[in-house]
Amino acid sequence: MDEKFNFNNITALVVDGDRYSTGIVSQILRGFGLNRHFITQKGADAEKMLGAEKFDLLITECVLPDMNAGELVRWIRRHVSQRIRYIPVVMLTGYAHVSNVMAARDSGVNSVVRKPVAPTTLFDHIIWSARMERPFIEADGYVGPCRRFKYGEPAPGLNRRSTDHAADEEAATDAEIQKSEETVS
Amino acid sequence: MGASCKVIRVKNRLGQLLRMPGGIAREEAVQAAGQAVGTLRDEYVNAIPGEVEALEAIAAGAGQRRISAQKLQAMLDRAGQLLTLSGTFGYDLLDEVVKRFCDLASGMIEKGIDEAAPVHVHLRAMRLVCPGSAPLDENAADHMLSGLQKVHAHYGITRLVQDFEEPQPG
Repeated sequence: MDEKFNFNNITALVVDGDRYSTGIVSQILRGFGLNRHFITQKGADAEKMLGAEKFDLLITECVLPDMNAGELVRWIRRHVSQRIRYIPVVMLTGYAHVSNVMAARDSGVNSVVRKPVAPTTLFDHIIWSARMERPFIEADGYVGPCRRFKYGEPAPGLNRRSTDHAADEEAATDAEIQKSEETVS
Repeated sequence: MGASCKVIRVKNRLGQLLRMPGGIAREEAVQAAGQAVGTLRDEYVNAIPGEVEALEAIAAGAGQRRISAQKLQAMLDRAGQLLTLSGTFGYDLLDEVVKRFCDLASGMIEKGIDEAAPVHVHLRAMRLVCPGSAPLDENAADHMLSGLQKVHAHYGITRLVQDFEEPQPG
């Protein structure tokens, strides 16, 4: 029997200045059963919405009308609220801006998807982001999902980066998340 | 003092929600999404000539002989919308022409070229392959693309993305 995925209880935010792209992504999400999604064109509006509403998934174009999405993701990854800081981020990139893929990864996104977005690709990237029990790294130069952690296994060779030494491992508890939510609300 | 790095185990809330009872299988979800996108086809395909017109308007504002890097950047940003439409709804030839325009505009910005002529050539090519225009046969399409290629070669423009593969999840 095919594995099933329940999108009904997920709230997503889609950020893109391309109105056709947001229309298409919106229809794709509806097809998945993810009806609770909000759309905005600007990064500044996205920041306000993330602070006001509880989102489980962010899908953003890498170049926004008012800012580079890398700035938005860096703002998210350094936010005091853990529910904002740890939100899965899928970044979309168009042909003209494909050179930004590496910069997007460095800003702390979970996944990068090429535009125009196809239902299969978006589905797979969302499911992958959800399945991965991927540690979160908070280093001086990078905050985001561990980039060495792929397909369920960390890449061999620990401590390859200068920022890897003095690593502490800890878990974000429900209580901490609750506390940080109170800080925001 | 050494650099610090915390490794934090984060509860995957998205995964928990997706695993709740009920839901939809991948194949079913993808099919439903495809159908939902299909409902936009008429409206979005009809919007394509308007998007080409928007690019033409930016170029026309720049005059016939010279075009600034700002105008080229504005056209490049706007061309993304056209690629969304052509790529989603299967207008492959238009998609290829717009991508070549993106190659051109990016290359011109990078090299500081301000001649408007190659830009106008690409805009005319877009018009030729727009929905609603008389379809080009294979020879005519090849001839047009090779003409654009000659323009690129003349200005030393390379493909923006040589062998762009779909980024893998991660």
